[in-house]
Amino acid sequence: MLDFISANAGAIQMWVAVACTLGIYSILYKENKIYRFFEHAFIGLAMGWTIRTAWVDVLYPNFYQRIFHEGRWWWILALPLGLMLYLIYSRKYNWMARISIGFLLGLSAGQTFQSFAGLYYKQIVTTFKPIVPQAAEGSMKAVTLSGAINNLIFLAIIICVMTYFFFSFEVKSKVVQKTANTGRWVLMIAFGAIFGSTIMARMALFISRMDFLIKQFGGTFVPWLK
Amino acid sequence: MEHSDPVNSTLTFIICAAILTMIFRSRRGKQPFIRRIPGLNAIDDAVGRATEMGRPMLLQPGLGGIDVITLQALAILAYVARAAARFGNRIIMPVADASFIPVAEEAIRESYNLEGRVESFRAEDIMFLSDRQFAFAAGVAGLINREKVATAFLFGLFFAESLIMAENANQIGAIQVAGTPSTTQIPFLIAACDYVIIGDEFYAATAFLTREPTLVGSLVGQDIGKAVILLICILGVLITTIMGPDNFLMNWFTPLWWKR
Amino acid sequence: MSILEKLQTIDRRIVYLLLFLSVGLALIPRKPLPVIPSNQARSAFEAIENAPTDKLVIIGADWSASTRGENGAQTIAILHHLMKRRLPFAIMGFDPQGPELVAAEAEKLAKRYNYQYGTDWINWGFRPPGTINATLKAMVRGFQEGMKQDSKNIPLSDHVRLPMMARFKDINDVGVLVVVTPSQTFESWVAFVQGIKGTPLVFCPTAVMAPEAYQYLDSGQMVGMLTGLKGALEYEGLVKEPGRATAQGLALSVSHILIILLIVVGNLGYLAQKRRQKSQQGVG
Repeated sequence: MLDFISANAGAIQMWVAVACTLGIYSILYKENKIYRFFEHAFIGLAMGWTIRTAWVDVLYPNFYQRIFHEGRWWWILALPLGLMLYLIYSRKYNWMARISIGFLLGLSAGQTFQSFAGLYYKQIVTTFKPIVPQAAEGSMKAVTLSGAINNLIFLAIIICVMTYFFFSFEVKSKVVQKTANTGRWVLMIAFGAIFGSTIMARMALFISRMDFLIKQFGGTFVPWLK
Repeated sequence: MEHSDPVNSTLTFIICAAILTMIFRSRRGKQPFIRRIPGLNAIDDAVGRATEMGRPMLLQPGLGGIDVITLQALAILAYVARAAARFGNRIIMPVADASFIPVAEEAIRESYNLEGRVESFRAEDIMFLSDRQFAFAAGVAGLINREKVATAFLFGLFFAESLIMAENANQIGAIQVAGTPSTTQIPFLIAACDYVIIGDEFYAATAFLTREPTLVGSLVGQDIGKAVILLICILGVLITTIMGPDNFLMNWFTPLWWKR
Repeated sequence: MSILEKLQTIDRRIVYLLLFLSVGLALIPRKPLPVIPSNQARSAFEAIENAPTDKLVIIGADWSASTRGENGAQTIAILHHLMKRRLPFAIMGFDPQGPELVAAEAEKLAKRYNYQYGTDWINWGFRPPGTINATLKAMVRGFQEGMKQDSKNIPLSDHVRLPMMARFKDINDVGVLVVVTPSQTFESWVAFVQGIKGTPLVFCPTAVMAPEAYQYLDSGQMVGMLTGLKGALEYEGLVKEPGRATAQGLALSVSHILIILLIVVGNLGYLAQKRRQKSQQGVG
């Protein structure tokens, strides 16, 4: 049996992959037992993969190996902090888990300062764009009429969208209300563009599976499909 | 900070100071104004529909674990759970992070407790499916179809799996209310859901529903921060237009690392 | 209900069937479509084309098998370019499958381009996603401090087995960063790696994530971008290595045409329904 499997590993792998793909796609017709079987198989497989990753890629190289192979015994001091996280399941001692959670939240909040500066401060500077045509100066390129109009639209959109996202000001002025409404419209246009882009992403993933079914799988039986 | 300069540090300080000041003011009992988010009205309608149909409601806190966005989502879902407890609806809450289960359980149990219906709370309806994105989505899709949920509330951090879940709920005719700060997922939620709370409205919704002084204060503080940044942008454009690209504001705000 | 109105309620299974048939048929012809590369794909190409050969290229592979359809094709196209130019590169990632998948593709191409592991390329392997910011910050200061060992557990300080690591120490030795990811990990790469020295960063997202990156292109925090499968298709054309994306280009276009037609058809139905309701109200 084992010999048969090892001798035909490639073919078995392909047949299993085809069955899984078609099984999961069967929900497109309607919810059914075949889909349910593959859904549970998929979840189980993913769980197994997660456990494998936790040991092979995280705990073994970063913890076990450090302590027992490299002799860095002091790494064990991190263990109580990690184990305290499991006390979240105890109603009596879950306050101890909050110490670890607080530690992790504090760490990520601290990093957010640098992340915020690194991501957004440069973008603040890049909004400083002239809204009238200008000649080239130093390393800066010339701003043409169309460039200036672009920059003006850019500034108007920033103002409109940011106005829409103010929550703590009671807006009575009609101008501000209209600005915020324009912001909402602009957002909807942007969401439309994102939607289009995502259709492409979804199609790419679908095409990849179809490529597998037709060219790789179908191609083994009908050579001209390859 | 490795890539900061005095001007950027000052800006960070101003934003933080505004947030902290407003939090402390709010904690002292000075409740500031927050405008109502239109999508929030839909929550009560959706709960009402599930009650009429006698079918369960799906509460989905996204793919996040114990993080700020997911905890804020939980505050909204706890509000929904309270309404569910009041009307005797069953809720189903699949999660993608096992460590989030006890936190969610505690919040939802508390909602039932506040309505005096703690005996109706079913801990087994808050379940871990998988932490793998698409395995989780397949599990939620299966649940939606099997349980024929009447309404679905999708609040939290979503990625590519959002459409799979929203589309499945849409196919069985569930009313859906969603809210996420994940910009790229908002379009699908708009397409597949009945009501959507977009971007920063998500944080405002939490503050509005909970009236928690820390959340309300930080929301107002953030508004001040946003106003400061908007003002800097407008000033920057005007000064660059008048003085050209090599101006004092541009030089102030250009971080040191960018000049290298 | 008129025929036009019925168009709005076409059974979704018919839509799926049309999609299956159109994509299936479009995958069979072998003749590729002509492609005009976008500005961001061209900029990405130029960033790698102009990268100094004595500097390291780091590939951040934060994707898994579920987005292989897009990220896989992008990665292979980039690897072709790196190896054609004989640029040394290191692979790392914060998704357990990412570095393994990229290393598998690199091994296949290494034979063709005569690339030696440890000399011309290296796989630093997977690091837990929760440690992304800390790992990247440490890596910027020094690769040995941040990564310590490669995916085969060889210490980066072992310059006999990994001679290339004697040449490359920290962020100053990096020529280009290539971040291939369907998730938000690119933000950590921009904030904690690119921003430190202004290292050119080429971004390869799935098409879903691409719209979120345009502001980084505008600000110069990213020099170029390959948008999903289309980006891979454009890059394959630029490096003159037609591959998976080129073969799937026609199917992608056909699927887009079908979706556009369905949107038009659905809207025609909607307009017809609206007109009927209006006329009924008028009669009432």
